[in-house]
Amino acid sequence: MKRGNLVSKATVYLVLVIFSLMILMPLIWLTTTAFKTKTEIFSNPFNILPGSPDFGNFKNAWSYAPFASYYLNTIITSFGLLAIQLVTITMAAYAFARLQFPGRDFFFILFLTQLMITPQSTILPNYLTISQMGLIDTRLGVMLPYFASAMGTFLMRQAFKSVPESLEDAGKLDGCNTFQLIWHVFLPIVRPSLIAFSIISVTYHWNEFLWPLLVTETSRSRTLTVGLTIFAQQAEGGAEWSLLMAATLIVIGPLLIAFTIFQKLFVQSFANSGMKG
Amino acid sequence: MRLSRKWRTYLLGYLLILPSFVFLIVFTYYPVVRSVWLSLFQKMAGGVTKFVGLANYEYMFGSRLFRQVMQNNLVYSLGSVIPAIILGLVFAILLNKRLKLRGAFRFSIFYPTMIPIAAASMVWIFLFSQSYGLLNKVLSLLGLSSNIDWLNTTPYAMLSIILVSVWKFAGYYMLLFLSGLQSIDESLYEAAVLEGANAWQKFRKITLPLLSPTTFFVTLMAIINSFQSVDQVYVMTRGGPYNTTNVLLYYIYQNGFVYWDTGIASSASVVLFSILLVFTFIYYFGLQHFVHYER
Repeated sequence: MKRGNLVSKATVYLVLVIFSLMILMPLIWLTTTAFKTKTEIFSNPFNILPGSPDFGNFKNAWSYAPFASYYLNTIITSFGLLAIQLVTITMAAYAFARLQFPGRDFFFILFLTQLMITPQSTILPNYLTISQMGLIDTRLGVMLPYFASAMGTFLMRQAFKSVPESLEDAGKLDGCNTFQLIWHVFLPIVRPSLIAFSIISVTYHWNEFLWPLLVTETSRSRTLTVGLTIFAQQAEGGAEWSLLMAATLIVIGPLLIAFTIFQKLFVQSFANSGMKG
Repeated sequence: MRLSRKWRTYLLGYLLILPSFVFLIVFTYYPVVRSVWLSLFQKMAGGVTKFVGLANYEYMFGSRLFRQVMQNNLVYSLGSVIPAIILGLVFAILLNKRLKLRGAFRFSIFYPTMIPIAAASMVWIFLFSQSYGLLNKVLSLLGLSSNIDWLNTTPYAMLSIILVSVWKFAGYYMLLFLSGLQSIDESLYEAAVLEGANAWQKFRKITLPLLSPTTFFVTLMAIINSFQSVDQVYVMTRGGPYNTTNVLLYYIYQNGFVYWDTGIASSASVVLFSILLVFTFIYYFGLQHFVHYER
């Protein structure tokens, strides 16, 4: 019995180590290549570690393309959008969770249809709308289709529903109006849900590609993922791999660092993002 | 004039959902209607549009390219969803135990979810590269054919796209399975051990049945995902070679934004909506089934 356990435990570790290394390989390759010089890549591809770490690729990548603007645009669009979403979803979720009004359930189901009609499937009509609004190549154009979030409303509604009635009554007795009630009573309690939604939303929009690719045209509004592919097209050919990998690391670095530090928080947020009623 | 309390609550409710609702109308509902409408028109020379009824659909369904696109999407969906779910489930079961380095394993398996697939595809292009890519080097070490031009030949291009998708999504599905596993009552396993059940029997008779709502949910989500992940196609193959990696959403992009054929792009969008609608219905009815099942 003891021995069987040991063998099965060893098998579990072996399988996990092999798969983890396979999944990690792109990240390892990316990181080490970014620190290699051009000649090192071609001389011995199996030499994983660079002779001496070379930061030149990062400096060059940063100066060849306007990554500073891309960064600024990405931060403004993902965090600006989050700020607006937090307001819209809190308002709607409070109404759906705590107020009685005719047609409430009908409107809630209508909200949820957004989960089905995904942003990717509406790129063409939304592009036409944004273009008619004169918002092509603006950060607002990148953000606008996402101002309302059914997923966020759903998550927050669940959270608001769990707030005990007695706390709400106590707030009312203290003379809170609805907005004070939401701010002072509800939001502090549902903070975990707010954080979970924030992590998912920022990750999604930091990583988004197709929509910003279509709406942006210059570094005035271009985000990191789009900027990276433009950079790659210019750095045509195999000779620029170390430069390209450095640029890729510049793009994915912040999220990767945040994920490494707050792994538990990220994992919990994403685990709860799957909606199971 | 003072509104009664009841009416004030009604009004407040509508006011609170109004901002979200306005944006939903403009960027979610109206686009569907507009797609249906635009699919009935054709752009003629000189920027004039002409009402053509269902001619766009007739043309599209009759074209060899569109049939190939649908076929590609089917191959891509099946090819990426099944392995990603199986791997996700296996990882979840392995990581659900008390293990050393659990955090490190979870990081390694889950991190692809965190990074943009457009950027990850850049690394994969490098790994897939014919003459100095890691993949061919490893194959040659194993004594296998090692001169594969992964992204430019059939069927390797589709295989590459599928591989990247499995790499990207398996970790996310693992996470969803993990939270499903954690809701299974530990005492069931203890009872099974007392009855002399082995690991396979425990998996077959306890884990799998009790996990079935999660499995159902993850599968549906994975299928829906597979109709909308197009970033890696754009970055790695641009639908090529010879349209063998051209999938439905890429076809919409191509017609809408490369050829500016709004009619065809809209018709294809309507097809995409219909597919999403069908799977949403399946999901909804499945959910009802599982709600009863659990009681």
